[in-house]
Amino acid sequence: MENFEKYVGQILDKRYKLSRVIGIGGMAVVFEAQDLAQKRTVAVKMIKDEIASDTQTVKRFINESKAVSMLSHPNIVSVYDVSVRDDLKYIVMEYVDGITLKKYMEKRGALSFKEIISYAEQILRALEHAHSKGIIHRDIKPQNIMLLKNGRIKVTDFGIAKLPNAETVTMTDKAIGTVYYISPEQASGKPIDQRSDLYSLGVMLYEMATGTLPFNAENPVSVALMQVNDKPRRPREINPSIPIGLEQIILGAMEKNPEYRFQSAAQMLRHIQQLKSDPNFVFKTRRDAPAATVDTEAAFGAKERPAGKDSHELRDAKANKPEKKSRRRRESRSMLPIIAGVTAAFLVVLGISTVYLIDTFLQAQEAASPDIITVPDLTGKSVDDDAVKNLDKRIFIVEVEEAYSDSFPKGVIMSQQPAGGEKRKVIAGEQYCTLKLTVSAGVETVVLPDFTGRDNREVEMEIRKLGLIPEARYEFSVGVERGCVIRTEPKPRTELRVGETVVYYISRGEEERGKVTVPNFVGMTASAAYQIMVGEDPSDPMLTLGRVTYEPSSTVPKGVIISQSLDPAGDQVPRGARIDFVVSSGSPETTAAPQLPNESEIDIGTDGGKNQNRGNGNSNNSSNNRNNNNNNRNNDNRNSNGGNRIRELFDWFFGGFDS
Amino acid sequence: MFFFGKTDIGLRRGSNQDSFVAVSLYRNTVLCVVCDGMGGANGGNIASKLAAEVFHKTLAESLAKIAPAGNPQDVDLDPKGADYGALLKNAVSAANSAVYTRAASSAELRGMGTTLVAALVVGNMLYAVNIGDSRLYIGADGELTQITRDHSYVQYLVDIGKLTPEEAAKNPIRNIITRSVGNEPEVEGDIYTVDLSEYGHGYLLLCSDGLTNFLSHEKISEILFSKEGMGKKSLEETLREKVERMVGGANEGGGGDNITVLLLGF
Repeated sequence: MENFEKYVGQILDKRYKLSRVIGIGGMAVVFEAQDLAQKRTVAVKMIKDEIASDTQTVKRFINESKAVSMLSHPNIVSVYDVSVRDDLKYIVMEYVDGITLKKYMEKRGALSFKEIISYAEQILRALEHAHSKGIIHRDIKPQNIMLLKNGRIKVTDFGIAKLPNAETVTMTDKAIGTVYYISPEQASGKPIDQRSDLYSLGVMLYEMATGTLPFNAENPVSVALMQVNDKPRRPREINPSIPIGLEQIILGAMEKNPEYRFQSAAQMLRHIQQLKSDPNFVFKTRRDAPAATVDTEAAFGAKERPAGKDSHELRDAKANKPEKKSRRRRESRSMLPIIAGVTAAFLVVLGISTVYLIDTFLQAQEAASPDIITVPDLTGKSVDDDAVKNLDKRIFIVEVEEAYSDSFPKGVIMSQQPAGGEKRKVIAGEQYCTLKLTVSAGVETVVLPDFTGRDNREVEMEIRKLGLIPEARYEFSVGVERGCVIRTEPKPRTELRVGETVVYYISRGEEERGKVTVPNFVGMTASAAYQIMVGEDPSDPMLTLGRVTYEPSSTVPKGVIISQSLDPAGDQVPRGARIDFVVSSGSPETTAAPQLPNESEIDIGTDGGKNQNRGNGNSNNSSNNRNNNNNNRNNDNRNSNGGNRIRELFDWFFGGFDS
Repeated sequence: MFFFGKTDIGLRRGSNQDSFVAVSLYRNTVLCVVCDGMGGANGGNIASKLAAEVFHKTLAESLAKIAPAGNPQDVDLDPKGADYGALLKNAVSAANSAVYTRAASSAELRGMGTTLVAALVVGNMLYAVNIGDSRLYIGADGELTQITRDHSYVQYLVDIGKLTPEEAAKNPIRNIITRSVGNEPEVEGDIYTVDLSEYGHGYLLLCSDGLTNFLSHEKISEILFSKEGMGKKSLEETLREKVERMVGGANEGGGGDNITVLLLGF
C-alpha cells in the first residue's frame, strides 16, 4: 500500500498546503488542505500513483471532474479547481465539516419521517441540478452524503470517473458498501441514465425509513444479484409507522425496470413535497396525482411509462376508491403520476426557487421553539431495559460505550453523560440530547493461546500483552528445543481473567539421562512394546512413543508391530528418544472397511482420550469442508475472511470512495 | 499430438500476467495449462506463474505413480485407468495453497490470484479443470464449442436469464470473476471429461480472456478452421500460424489485455 502521509506538509502548485489525510478510496486519496491564496480550508483529492499511469482512466477522471466543476448547487460539494498537469493530477473541493449519512444512520438507526423528507428533498435537488447538466452521480450511497450540523445535506463524489477497468477482479468474498445501493442496470453492466441515481436514492430512503438495507447478503455477488432479481420486503412490514405514501415513493424509486421508476428527480421531488405537506397522502393512480405537480419528463426526454404489470400491489392503500378491481390493480402499478406539459421556462424558475426554498427551510428549523427536558437516571439499569428502549428517539441520541468492569455485571449501565436529573433544551426531531451510556462489558477475559514450541522471550511478552502475569519455570525436554516453551498452566484455550498468572515451562533441552539400547519390538504387540518402553517409572520412560502408522498385512497379525523407526542393532540412543512404529491392522480382506485410522499420533504422558478427540476433530472439519464446498458449488459464495481485500477490488471496480 | 502456445502482452498493459504450460508427459499424454493472473503490479504474474508451475509439478508427480515403468516418452497411460479428475482437483488444491500462502507472505502480493484452465489429454480422453474465466474450447467439424463454464458474474446473469450471452460478451463488468486460485484457503475446480473420439479429429483451444474479449467467436472459429496452406505445411507449422493469427487478431481488436492462446491438434 502506498504511504500517503509523505504528501502531508507539501504545498501543491504553491497554493494548496496538505495538512492531513482524510480519506482513502479505490482510486484516490483525499487530504484536508489550506488554500493559501483564498485563505480557506479545502479538500484535495489526488489520484493514486498506481492509477496515474492508466492514461485512459486519468483522462476520464479529469474530464468528469471538469464537468462536475461546472456544477454549482448548495447541496453539492463544490469543485474549485482541477489540476491536469502531467506529473500532478488532483482536484480541489469544498471542505465539508460534517459527518456522512452512513455514520449518522449507524448512530440513529431508522430516521424520523421529517428527517427522511428533508434529506430526500435536498438530495433530489442536488440530483435534479446535476441531471439537468447531463451528469449522473452513479454512486449515490450514504457514504457520499454529507450531513452538516444545521441539517443541510451535501452530496459529494459527484460523477467522479468510475473506472472502465478491464482488469480481472475477483469477488469470491464478502464486501461491505458499494453494491448495496447500485441499480439493477448497474448490477448487470447495462447502460445507465439519471434514473439509476433515483434507484440508489430509493435504497437509501428504504434504509433511512426501516433502519435496514433492502438487500443484504454475505457477499457482493449475492447482493448484486438481489438488486437485479429480488423484490424487497415492503418497508411497512418492517416499520409499520412508515406512512403509506413514503412506502410508495420508496418502492416506486426502487422499481427494477427504469421505465417504471420515477423518470426524473423533479418528478420524485414533487411526490416528496406532496407528502411533506400531507404525510397521510396516498398516491393511487396517474389521475390522482397531486394537481399542483408538474412533470418534467419532457425536459428529460423520458418516455411515458406504460401502465404495465404490477410489481407492488398497493393492497394496504387506505384510500381505495370503489373502482373496478381489475383496473385498480393495473393502474396502481403506475401510482406515480405522469402529467405531461411543462415548459422549459418552468425549469429555470424551479432552478432559482430551489435556493430560496432551502433557505426558508433552514430558517424554519432554527425558528422552532425548544422544550426543556429532564435527563432520566439510567445508571444501574440494564442497557436492554425498557427505560432505555423507550427513550424518545426524536429527543435522545443514545451512544453506548462498553467498558470492562469487575463490579458491574455485563450489560448494566455504569455511568451516563449527562447525569440523571440534568436539564436539556431539545426540539423533538431537530435538536437532540446526546446521551452517552457506559455499559459494563463484564469482567475482561482473555483466551490463552497455544505457546508450545515458541521462544520463551516472545511468549513472556505476549502473556504480558494479554494482561496476564507470566511466571517462568524450567524443565528438561526431549522434544522441545532449549529456550522454547514446552507447555503452559493452564492449558491453551483456557479463558482467564485479566491479571491472572500463567506459568510457562521453558525447555532446558535434553537431559543427560544416559543412553539406551533400542530393543527389537518387531513381532511384539503394541501394548507389550509399550510396557517395555515405559519401564517402571512412567515419568522417565526408556523411549517415547512417536507416530504409529497402521498398515494392513496378510502375514502379521492385527495389532503386532511390523517395523520400528530406530534400529535395534544400531548405536545407543538418548534415553527418552522418540520411536515410530508401523503396526498391522490385520489382513486386507478382513479389514475392508478398517475402523482404525490410517495414521494417528499417540503421545505418552497425556491421557489416551486426547488422541480420540483429535481424530474426531479432524473428521468434523472435513465434513464441514465438504459442506462448504457444496455451498460453493451452488452459488460460488465464499464465507471466509479477507473481506478487506475484496472490498478494495470492488471499490476499485465501482470506483467507490469511502472517506 | 502436436501443440503450440503463445502469450502476448497485448497493446495496453504494462506487464504480462498470463502464464501457460504445454508439455508432453507420456507418449499419449499432454498437459496444457493457462493461467491469467491478477492483483497489483507484480502479484498477477507471480500468481499465474506459480499456479501453473505447482499445478504441473503436482499433477506430473501423481501421474508418475500410476505410469507404467519405462521412459515416459515410450509408454502410454491408460486413458480410463485412473480417476484423472481427482488428480486434477488435487493439483488445483496444491496450486491454490501455493498462491494463497505466497500472497499471505508479503503485503505487496496481498490479494493476488489467478484463473486456471487445464486440459489433460490421455489418449482419446480429455480431462479438464477450470477456475475463473479462462476457457477451453473444442473445435471440430467446423464448430467451436466452449467446454468450460466461466466462473464469472455475468455468467450468473446469463444463467438466471438477466443477460443474453451476447450482452454478456460485451458487458463492461464481465471482468468480475467469482472463483479464483489463491484468493481463498480452498477452492474447488469444475471437472470436465470428454471422449475425444466422438469428435474425430479437431483442436483443443485454451485461452485467456484477452483473446475472447478482443476477437469474436466467429473470427476465432474462422482462423481455426481455415484450410489456408494446409497440406503444404507440417501440422506443427499450421498450429503455430493459427495461434499467431489469433494473437494478432486480438491485438487488432484492441489488445486491451494479455493474450494467451494454446492450440492442440488431435
